[in-house]
Amino acid sequence: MPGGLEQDVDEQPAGSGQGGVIFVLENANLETAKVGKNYELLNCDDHANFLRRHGKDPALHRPDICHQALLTILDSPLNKAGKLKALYVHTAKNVLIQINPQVRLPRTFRRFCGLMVQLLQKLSIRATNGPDKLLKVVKGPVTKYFPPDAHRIGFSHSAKTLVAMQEWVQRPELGERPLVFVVGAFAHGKIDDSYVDEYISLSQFPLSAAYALCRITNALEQKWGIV
Amino acid sequence: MAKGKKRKAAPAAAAPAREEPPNLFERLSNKKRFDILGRKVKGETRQLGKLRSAASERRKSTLLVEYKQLRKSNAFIDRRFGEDDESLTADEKALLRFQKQRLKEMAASKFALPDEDEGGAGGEQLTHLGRSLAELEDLQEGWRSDDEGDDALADDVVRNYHFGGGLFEKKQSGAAGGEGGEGEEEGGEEGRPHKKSKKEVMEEIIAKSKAFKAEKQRQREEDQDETAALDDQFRSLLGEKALLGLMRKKGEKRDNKAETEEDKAFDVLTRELVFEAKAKPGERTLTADELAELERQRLEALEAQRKRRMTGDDDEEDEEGGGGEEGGGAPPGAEAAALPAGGYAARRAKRARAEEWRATRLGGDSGDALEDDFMAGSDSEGEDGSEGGNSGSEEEGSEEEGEDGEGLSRLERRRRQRAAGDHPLQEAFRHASAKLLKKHRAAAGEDLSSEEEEEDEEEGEEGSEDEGESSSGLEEEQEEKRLESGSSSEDDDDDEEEEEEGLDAKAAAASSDEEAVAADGEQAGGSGSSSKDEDEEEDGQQEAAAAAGRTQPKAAVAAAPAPPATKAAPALPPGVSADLPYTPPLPDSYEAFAKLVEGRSAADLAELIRRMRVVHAASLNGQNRKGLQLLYGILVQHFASLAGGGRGGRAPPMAHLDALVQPLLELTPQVPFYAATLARARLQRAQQRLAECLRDPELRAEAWPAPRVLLLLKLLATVFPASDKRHPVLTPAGLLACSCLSNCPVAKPQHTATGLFLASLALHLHSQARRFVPEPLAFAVQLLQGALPAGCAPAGAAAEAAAASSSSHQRQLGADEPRWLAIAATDAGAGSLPAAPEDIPPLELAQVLSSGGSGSGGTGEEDFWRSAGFKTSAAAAAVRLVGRTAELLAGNAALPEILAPAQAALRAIVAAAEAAMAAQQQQAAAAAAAPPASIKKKQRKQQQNQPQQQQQQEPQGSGVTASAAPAAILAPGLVELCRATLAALDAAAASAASSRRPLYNVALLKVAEKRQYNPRFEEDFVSGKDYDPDRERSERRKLQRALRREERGAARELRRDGAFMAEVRDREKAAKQAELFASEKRAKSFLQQQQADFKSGGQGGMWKRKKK
Repeated sequence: MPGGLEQDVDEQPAGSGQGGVIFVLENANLETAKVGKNYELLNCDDHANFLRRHGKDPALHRPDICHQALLTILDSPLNKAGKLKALYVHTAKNVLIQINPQVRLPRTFRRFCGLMVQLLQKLSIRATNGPDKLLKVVKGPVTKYFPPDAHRIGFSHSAKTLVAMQEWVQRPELGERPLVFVVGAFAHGKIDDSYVDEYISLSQFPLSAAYALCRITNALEQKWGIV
Repeated sequence: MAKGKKRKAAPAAAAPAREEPPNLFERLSNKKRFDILGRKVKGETRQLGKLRSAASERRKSTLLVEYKQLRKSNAFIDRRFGEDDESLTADEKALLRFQKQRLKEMAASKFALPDEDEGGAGGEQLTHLGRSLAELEDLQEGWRSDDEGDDALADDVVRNYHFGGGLFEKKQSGAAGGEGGEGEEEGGEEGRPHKKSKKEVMEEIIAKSKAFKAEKQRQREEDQDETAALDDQFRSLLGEKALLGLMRKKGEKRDNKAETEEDKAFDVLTRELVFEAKAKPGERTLTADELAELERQRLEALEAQRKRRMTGDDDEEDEEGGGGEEGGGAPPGAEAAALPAGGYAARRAKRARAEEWRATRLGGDSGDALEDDFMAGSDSEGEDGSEGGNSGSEEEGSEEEGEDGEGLSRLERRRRQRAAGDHPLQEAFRHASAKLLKKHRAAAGEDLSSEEEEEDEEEGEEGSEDEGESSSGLEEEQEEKRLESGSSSEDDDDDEEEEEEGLDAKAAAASSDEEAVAADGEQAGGSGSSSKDEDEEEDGQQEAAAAAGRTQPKAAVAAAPAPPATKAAPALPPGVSADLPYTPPLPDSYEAFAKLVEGRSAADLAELIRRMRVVHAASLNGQNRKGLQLLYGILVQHFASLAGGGRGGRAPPMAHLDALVQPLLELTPQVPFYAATLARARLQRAQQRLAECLRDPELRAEAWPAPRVLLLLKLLATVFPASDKRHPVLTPAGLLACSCLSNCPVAKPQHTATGLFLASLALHLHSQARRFVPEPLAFAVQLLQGALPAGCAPAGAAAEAAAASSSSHQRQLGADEPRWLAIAATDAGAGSLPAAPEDIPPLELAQVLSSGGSGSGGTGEEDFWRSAGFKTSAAAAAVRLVGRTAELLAGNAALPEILAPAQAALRAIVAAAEAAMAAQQQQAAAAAAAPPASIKKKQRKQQQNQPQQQQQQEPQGSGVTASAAPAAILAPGLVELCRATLAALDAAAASAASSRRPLYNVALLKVAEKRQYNPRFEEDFVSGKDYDPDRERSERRKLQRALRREERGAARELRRDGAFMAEVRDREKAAKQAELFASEKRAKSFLQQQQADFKSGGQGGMWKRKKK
């Protein structure tokens, strides 16, 4: 299928050996609940009472962070240029979602919620104009989808090394290895560090997920001369 | 079921058993992969044991019972209460039995109607108005007796008991009203006031209308009485004749108003308004054709005068003048047609009177136009008045007429003031129209005021006709006057004439757009008129023209041999000889024309051609067009012969050529195809000659075109529009020039000048058409290379030039080729070179052309070509050519590449000049015994600044012998010019280079944006809902799913039923077997016992003998 979606990621690890980038959003709060008669994506604004009734902390349910982060990644020229090889979202409920970089996510949060509710129930979302699956719930762990030589970088404000991303991505030792960036899509917390090679901090200040991703994509765009 | 529940609820022992925690080992639960908060799934956890036992119980109660009834025809149903239930006491059993019995009774009486006595007591009853009918029934007896009893009672009953009485009572009352008298109604009134009021209202209305009628009747009667009384009184008055003074007699008119001054004025005004002139058309602007015709007539008149003067018969003036008027000044066709046939005699008489009067006046003093006008005006006014008197008598009385005349004149004045508005436009227009009229209608005719009077005249047509005739007469007389008066006064007239011509030009400019190129007013008028080819002239005019043409040649022939000595020509532009024929014939061959113009001055030539064109304008006669074509050919030939006349060292007569250019320029649009054909033929000839010369190695050096061709090219460039993208004449002309530039070898120094001329011409031709031709620039660059002596150019610059001129059309001047513009120290004027660009004298065209031919170059001429002045001028011309090329190329993306060779050449010149200066300074420094340190420093600085040049000079010096390395002698002015041009070129190239855009963006090309896909999802997704838009298909699928589910359920049930039944059967079989076995065992044991008894002798096996 020329010009269509790329090969299924299951078949072949993405971005191996061509300098691709993989993003993983860890600990995203995507959870559906049956509120009244409808299934809804839990968020702190609309379902504060519902969450309290069920003994949960509303402050932790922030699917908007994930939405913003996804939009930042998918809208970046980096993605438009085809450098983004894969995108995974790992939810706090341990659901791993594989997102095709060619998806055009809903711009509004409400529609995003609808999409996620359907995804979490049907486990896959297809394109309007084709049979290809754009979003898919896949089996974990996420590491099995990484290319073997991938360099996995985790981002944390509490990391020991504070770097300027522009310079960091230009380091020669990175070479053309595929990069996996693991960014937390939560309001409070820490990403799971079981599979991360190194932790870096982007700024002296704690950054929002979307802005951190913005910095990363900008740095990579500059590196590869994507204008 | 209810019973069971009750039974279960009743014992207190059942409650604790239910609260017993379920056995966890019996609980079955589904594993949930994606837990959804708030969702309750049915059957999430199941108590397996409980469910199984329930299922088994269910089967026992259904399936097992059925099984037991299988193949049985009847069954025993025990309907006793509590017989099989041990938990019930006897009392409870009794209670239950009683309940059962009661229920059975109730069920039995469900559809039976209850007894009346029982049901009526507490049940429903029929009511009316909240009362029971039974109660009403009690009164029925009274009602029944009503029929027999009195009415009063019946009324009462009806009112009270007849179902409220409402409707019936109304009817009854209505009926009663209809039937009965008022007594009843009155009785009713007391009870119901609203009914009474209506009645009252009706009554009131009737009463009122009656009263109104009566009043009316009374009024009428009163009026009648009064009228009768008045009539009587009036009659009595009439009888006394008291009203006589108020009455008017029978014949008398009605109104007789007293007249005030204002009323009178108003009357006058209204009457004036009747005769108020409506908007009349102004004087028509003459068309171009008419102007041409007028001009021709004027010339013919002049010719006639000239001839008359030649022959010397002044006596016949009057007759001749009359004749001339008849012949030449015949009124135009339109006017002639408009003339009423009957008015001839009167007009002639009037004209005779006017002429007579004028003759008497003219005899007295010198002819003054103003006086004439004045008199004419007064004369016409007088006429006007008398005529107005005659015509006005038709409608109005004489005394009124007098008043009106006065009013009119006043009004006239007012109107005139209004018309003579002081708006500048109005004034300008008046001025122009007055001038125009003055020239063409009355050469010395009326001025504006009289003209306006003319307009206001009542009988416009006749009056204007008169004026026209009289004006022509005036013109005639003025001409005569001019002839009579001396030469000193003639000069004034001459000026006048010129003025008039200028005005004529203005008028033509207003009417036609073609005068843009014209310098001379007359000719502009001519071109404007002749541009329109209309053959709608009257036959008479044609004949007149033909006659003039026929009569003229003799005069022309006679005039031609006359010596052109008479410089002071009367009534002529300066420089034109007076003996020039006014109506020259069209020459039918070049020889005739050559004879005609032989020895004439340039001004004469121009005037002659102008007159030819005026007299034979194409618009006057259709056949004139052919003559004009012939004239065009002759003129071109004359031009060529004049241009070629410069051969033999003589410069071509430029004034004559210029005189020819103007008519050619104007004639070309009239005969465009002929002109183009002619030009192409000449170009073809030139091209052939060029090709032949180039083919022949001996003639190759002479391949440059002759001055004749050069001037012809120049003429073509002037005559035809150079801005056409593709032109039948100029495109070949430009190609010819370019091919000369690229192919002809520069074998002589004069060729540089010719080439420069051609280059500038080619540049002019192509640049206007927005074409790019490389040849002019290449030629200029070649010349500039030749401005430096061989080997003088710095090596770097030379290499650059060589690199720049790698393209095919660029030539790099070889070292052994002659450099015509390089100044040698021995050249004339090498000592005094111009110091500034402005001091460099421009190349003279005449000089270029005089020697351009296969020159019989004298030594003087050779000197000129070798002189430093010529070389500098030529080089400066080349530099300027380069500069102009750069200007024309501005905006072209390829400008840097195109200009690169020129830049290299200019840079070489500048570098050479700087090198020469440095060498001079060095020499000076060397000459100085002890040069000051500061100068040395400066020199060093300069050396540092220009190390490259130093290096460039050194190998050059070493390569060639020291004496052969010539220092370039360059005029400082030229160097300055080069420097300025070079700076301009550099700037233009830099700006062009900076404005270039890359052909493609590498980054954008590589990365094509990936296509994006929209996810397909529903706004409010419900799991399990079919989102298939095809409703039918989704329904079908749903049914299929249900079917499958049912199938599966049924199969499962059957399977489990089977298992259950198998178990039951097994148990039965086992029971039977066990029974069989037991009976067998029993039998066996009996037998064994029997045998043992038998063997033991009845001791029951306890035989002692055996124990021993």
